Amino acid sequence: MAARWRYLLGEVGLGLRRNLLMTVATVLTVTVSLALLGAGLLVQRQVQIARDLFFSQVEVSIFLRDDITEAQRQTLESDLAESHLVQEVLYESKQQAYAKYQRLFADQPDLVESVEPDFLPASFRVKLTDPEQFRAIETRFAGYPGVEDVTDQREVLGRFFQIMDGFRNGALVVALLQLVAGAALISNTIRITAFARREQTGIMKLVGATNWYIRLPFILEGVIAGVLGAVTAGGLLLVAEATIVNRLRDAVTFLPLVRTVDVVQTIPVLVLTGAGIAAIASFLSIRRHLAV
Amino acid sequence: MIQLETVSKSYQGAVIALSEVTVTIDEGEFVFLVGPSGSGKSTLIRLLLKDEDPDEGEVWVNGTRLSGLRPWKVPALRRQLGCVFQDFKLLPNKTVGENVAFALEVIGRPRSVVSSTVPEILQLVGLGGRAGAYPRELSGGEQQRVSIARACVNRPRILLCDEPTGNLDPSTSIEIMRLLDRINRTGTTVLMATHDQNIVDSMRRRVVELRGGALVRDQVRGVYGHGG
Repeated sequence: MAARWRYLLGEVGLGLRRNLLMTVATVLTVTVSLALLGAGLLVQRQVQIARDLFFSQVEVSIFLRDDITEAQRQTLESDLAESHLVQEVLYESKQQAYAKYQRLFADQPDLVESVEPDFLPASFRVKLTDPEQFRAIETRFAGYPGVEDVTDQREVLGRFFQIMDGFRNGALVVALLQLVAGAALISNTIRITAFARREQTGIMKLVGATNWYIRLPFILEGVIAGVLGAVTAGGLLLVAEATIVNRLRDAVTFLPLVRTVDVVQTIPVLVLTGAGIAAIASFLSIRRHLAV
Repeated sequence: MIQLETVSKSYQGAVIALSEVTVTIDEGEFVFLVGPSGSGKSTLIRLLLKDEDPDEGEVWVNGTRLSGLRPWKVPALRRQLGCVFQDFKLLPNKTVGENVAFALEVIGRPRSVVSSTVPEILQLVGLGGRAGAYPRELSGGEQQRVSIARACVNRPRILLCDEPTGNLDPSTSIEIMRLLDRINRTGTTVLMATHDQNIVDSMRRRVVELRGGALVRDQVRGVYGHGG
């Protein structure tokens, strides 16, 4: 058994060194593709974090016209409070809206100054029992006298999610293309190696080495390139998290961003994908180029 | 030991390599397989190794019917056979000792077996002191001895030789034949394809002759041919 392992490791090392340039190209391609795959997965995770957060806080704003009468306002409030769709309703007067606005943009005095205390509308802030039921609320209350507009934060968020989904899909498509390129490179490296070792392979067949014994070094070579690429990709993502995301974290305080633990959790996925694709590419290539 | 029964083989359905060949070789025999180039000698050897399959007929080796042999069992068949070729097929980047050891290592023999068997077999073929040399440092005859050592190191029951003296001068060829004869005397069946007339005539062993893929002669203590 020891002799087998020594042979195996020797062959793999020799093969990787003999095609050093091809090996580097393969590892780099796999790295780029898996880094993009990882980025895609992290964007996905980010969308999920944001979605969970916003859905737990989602509320519908019913903005009131300035000329609404006190009676109209009270009818609206009691109807809202009685609706089974509504979990909680809060009235926000024009003064409260202005105070909130001042608080929100305290560090930007220009914005605060540009808005008169009278400018922002009063509104009801409605928390729904089921955030999906926004349409029902809208159809029921939009026609009430004195109601200016019914809006759902999700309409704003929807655009945010769309952009994020776009990023994710883009990353995944490029990752896929890169993975195909990586698989082709692995397959090509193995073809070259198989040609370089054809005499040795022929002798092994003659003396009765098993097919797997002959094939294993080739497959391992591919898998090692795949795993190296995956580990490098994981490292790149950790660096990206530590630099770019950490800087964003200070700027975007309202939204929790993906953390190191999320990156670490994607690394096993990357390693498995890299090793798996490399193994499949190697296996198919061997079947074509290494007749045993 | 080796048995072919109405075996036919053609390539691309046109070139006939073997045509209804029936022959039996018993354990311990030494058999020359003669005939001009393209008469089917090498094809016959490839069939015995199950490197190729016959179109028709059956081949038995050591009691195994090869047409019924599953692909994963082919290595086990080949471990019972030793092979020697005209071009030696030695690995240039390995020493003599490593070339011979390679045949044992790749079938998973323990290191202790390898390190004890390899010097023994090198001694037997007369290369006891050359284990550390590289093939390019050896003469043709010596390289063929290494190749024979590699073929015999796993103690095969049958030794298949395809033109083993084809690249060697007459005196070196005689030495190689002496070695093959010695191996045969230990009980190993030897089947040797050749068109070296002098050797066949001087050894006076069983001769099986192929022409155009057909068996035309099977003679005990034969000679190369009747004037051609």
